[in-house]
Amino acid sequence: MRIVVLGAGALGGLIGARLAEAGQDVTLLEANVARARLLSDEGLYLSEADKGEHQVRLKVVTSLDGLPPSDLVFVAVKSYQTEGAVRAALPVVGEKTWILSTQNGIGNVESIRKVIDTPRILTGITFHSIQHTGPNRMRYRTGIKPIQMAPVDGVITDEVRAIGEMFNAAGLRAEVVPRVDDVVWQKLAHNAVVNPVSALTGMSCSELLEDPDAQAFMRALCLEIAGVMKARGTALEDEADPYAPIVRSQKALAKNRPSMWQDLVRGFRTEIDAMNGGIVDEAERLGMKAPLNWAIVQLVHSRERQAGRRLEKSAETMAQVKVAQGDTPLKPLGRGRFGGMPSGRVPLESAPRLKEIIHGYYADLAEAGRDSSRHVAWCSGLGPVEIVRAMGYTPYFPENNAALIGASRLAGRYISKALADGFSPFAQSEMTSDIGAMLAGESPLASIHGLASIPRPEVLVYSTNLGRYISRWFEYYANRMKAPLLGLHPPAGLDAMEKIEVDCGVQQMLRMIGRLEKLSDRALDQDVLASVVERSARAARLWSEILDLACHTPSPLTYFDTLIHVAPILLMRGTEEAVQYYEILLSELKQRVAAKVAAVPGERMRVYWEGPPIWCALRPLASLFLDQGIAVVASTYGHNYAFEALSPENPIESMAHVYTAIYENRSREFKVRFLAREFERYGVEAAVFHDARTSPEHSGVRHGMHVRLQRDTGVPAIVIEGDTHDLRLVSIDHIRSQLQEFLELRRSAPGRYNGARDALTH
Amino acid sequence: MVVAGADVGTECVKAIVATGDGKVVGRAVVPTRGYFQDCFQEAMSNALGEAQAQVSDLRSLVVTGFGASCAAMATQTTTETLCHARGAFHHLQKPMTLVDIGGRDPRVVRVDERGAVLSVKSVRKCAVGIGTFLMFTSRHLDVHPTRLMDLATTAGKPARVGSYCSVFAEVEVIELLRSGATAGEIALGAMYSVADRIMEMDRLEGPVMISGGVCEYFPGVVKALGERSGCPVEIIPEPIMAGALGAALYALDSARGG
Repeated sequence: MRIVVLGAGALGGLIGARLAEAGQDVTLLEANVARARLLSDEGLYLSEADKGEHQVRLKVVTSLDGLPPSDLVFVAVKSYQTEGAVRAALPVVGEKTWILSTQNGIGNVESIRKVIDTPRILTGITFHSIQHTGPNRMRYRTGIKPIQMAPVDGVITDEVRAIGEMFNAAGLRAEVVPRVDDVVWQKLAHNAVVNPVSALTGMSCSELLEDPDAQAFMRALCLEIAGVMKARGTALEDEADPYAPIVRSQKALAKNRPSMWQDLVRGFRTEIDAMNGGIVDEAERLGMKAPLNWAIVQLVHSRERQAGRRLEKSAETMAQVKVAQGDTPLKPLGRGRFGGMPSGRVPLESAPRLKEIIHGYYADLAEAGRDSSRHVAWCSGLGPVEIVRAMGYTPYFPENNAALIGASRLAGRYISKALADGFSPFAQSEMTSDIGAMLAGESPLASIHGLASIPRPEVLVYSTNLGRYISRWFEYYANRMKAPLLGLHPPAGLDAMEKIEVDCGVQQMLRMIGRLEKLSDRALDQDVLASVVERSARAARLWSEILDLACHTPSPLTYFDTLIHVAPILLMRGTEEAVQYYEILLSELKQRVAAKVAAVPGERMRVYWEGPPIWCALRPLASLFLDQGIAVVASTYGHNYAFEALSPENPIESMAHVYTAIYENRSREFKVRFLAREFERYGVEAAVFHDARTSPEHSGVRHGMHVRLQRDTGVPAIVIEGDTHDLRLVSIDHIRSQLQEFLELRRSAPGRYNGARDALTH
Repeated sequence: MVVAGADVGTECVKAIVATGDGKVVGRAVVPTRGYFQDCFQEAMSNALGEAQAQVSDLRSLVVTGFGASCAAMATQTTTETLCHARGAFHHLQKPMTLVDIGGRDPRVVRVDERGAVLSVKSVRKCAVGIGTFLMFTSRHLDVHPTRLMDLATTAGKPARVGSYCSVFAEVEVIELLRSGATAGEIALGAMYSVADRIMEMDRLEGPVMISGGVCEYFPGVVKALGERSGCPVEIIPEPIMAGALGAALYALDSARGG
């Protein structure tokens, strides 16, 4: 049969591909020129459930002019696009052409009829769950029920039967029935209750189930819809308790959010008019009122407008950055082994900007070292940097130097120098790498940022919130350089944050301020501190929003990206430059989300990373995950900088709270609860726990945390033994076989690793 | 039509050649010395020789094991867990807890009634080399590895061998000999140490089946494991070939278009 599919999105793509594979003559009409070209050139990569991916070549066009009439036109566009799409399809609609719509909501047949008044219309309903994992890749699960289709006049002719048979022959289970009206309304009831409420509140289905107000509202909304259904004589799924089936579908969707939420976040129009809007129209036709449904329609429209405005704004910001940077020629991206998509990560456009500002930071640090009127302080990464800056010091961070040493694979050379000076090979390699480099009088900062030498500190300031070893590290330097040492020792291992602990933090900070004032002979200006804290707070909020974007599937960024882009909030927390950078990065990532650009092309598994980074093997590690299509979407490391509670109105107390409350400084119970929430939020299928040999304080897995989490959340753990800096303690080969084994077991035992993660095509 | 499966391990390369209807017609075990590629080629040619077949007759070749990536002509590589489970299940056709004790990476695999892997627990990266550990012990006791078992049977009770790390084994053997333990007691102690190591990996529930080369050359380990775990412990038929057999079965699937 000759088939034209209107719309090459999730449903159109899947149906079109399957029919094409079965030998039917299929042409897809796609309005988006870029998408049409991508699909035409590369086809579609489909994978069913956990099976392997395969490529399907497709005929995709942007215009149907000049094509012969088709036997079937399958309408697979959004409800609000129906009229336009059918109009574009007129060239291929002949006397014998059947038009099939399995679109969401109601009123679609009327839309079709506005363009062409034909009796040959089939309506229906599909139960597939389809998820995009890239611009032309999809994972799908066949529906629990077959596709139902019915001719609008209720008369099943041979032609209609033939269409049903064609679907079945293509492996798409389908049933031709005289009526689908009941089923359509029953599906609509689910969609119209769950979708908009989830979209408006931002809550996932499991969160909605736990919220009594949401449940009360949804029950009322459902009963209003049930009233309309009863009035038009449509059977309810459950006459006795109409809301019960909807509770069940919320449970089935669990941590997922329906597509309407995704549409709003991406700034697209939703199908609200065909759903709740259709219900309002039907109620009016019957002489009834549907006030709750009407309210929903208004609210969703407002959100649509708001999301659209935000997208415009971020496009403006990006355009400004592009103008500032000038046009860089497009580099051709290589073909990867993982399907036809380029295997290299699509580099972020903001990356050159990042280099610029970090370079600026180090240039300024060098200047501070040369200028005798300026003051340099050495700081720990999550120390009270705001106080240090407010007191006029330029901060330098040994931890950043250590990270660069690790990433440049120089640690081996330097660790031995530290060992010769008395350190044990089991001491934190982060520390011994940095100390060894100092003993050798070298630093990667020289070659990377032109920093001839690291300016000596007037004072060293640290906090033990990331671990007690920090104090030994800084003590060593203080001793060697005969510089004063000031430390914060917040209470550790906390479960809830209680006032007593915050007060302790406040007292320690006040004491530190007093000592700094005495040392420097300068007073701390509270207003200056407040503005520094204000900028820190903004940077942290932006960083938090950036990390949240990884909740999307596919994720626009990975853990390995965050290790690079964390630099501004680590080194330049409290400056305006850091804030500006994150605004740019956030814009770019939002655009990626809207365009469904995946950081890991073909993302087929999402994992969480608990524990410190393996700095010394980042590149091979990143390639390993990339090659396997695994996106590491979130980490405890990145989260450390996503402070919520910094407040310029209350700088010292909020700092005391935030710097004591970080993950590494908390109790095991807190960590377990926190991780369980994060696993759910990011929708991860597994969690990688890094047991860093020389970093016991950061390797929570040593106390069996992963077993407890696996029991509580069902998320399997992959324990990687390695180290942060000492390559002798890391075996990439071993990690590769661990990942391969995990993936193979997941593939061969789908029941165990099956998470209900797919977004249903509601 | 023939297919082959190979398990390129740290101590030996095992190869199996089977016909299209699943009958094993060629086997080979070659010690891994020096270049993995050479040992792999040797094992394959030995097994093919026994099967009276050529490389060109091979429809499919699945390779597993530590050195699997060295087999350039493999159709497919698969993990050791899946291959050992498949090989063991092929013999037994019932659910089991399978303990694979090979040269490098011991693992405890739970298999269900359909042969599917329910869980796999392995030892943490450090202190690997269980088979290697026993080879080291033999060397320090100055006996050929094949004689270690005989030595162990001369002892009434095992010496307490604490280290499982092959590197520390040398020092420990010397210290034990100096403190009056006999070579036999140390040999036996080493086997009990291996059993203790396995017990740390996962809870054992019967029936416990053993695969891998260690149980063939050092059956004392099996006896020690039975004692320490209190579970009935049995060795599967041809334990050292389990991985290669599983790989051959996967090769058969692939050749049949599965």
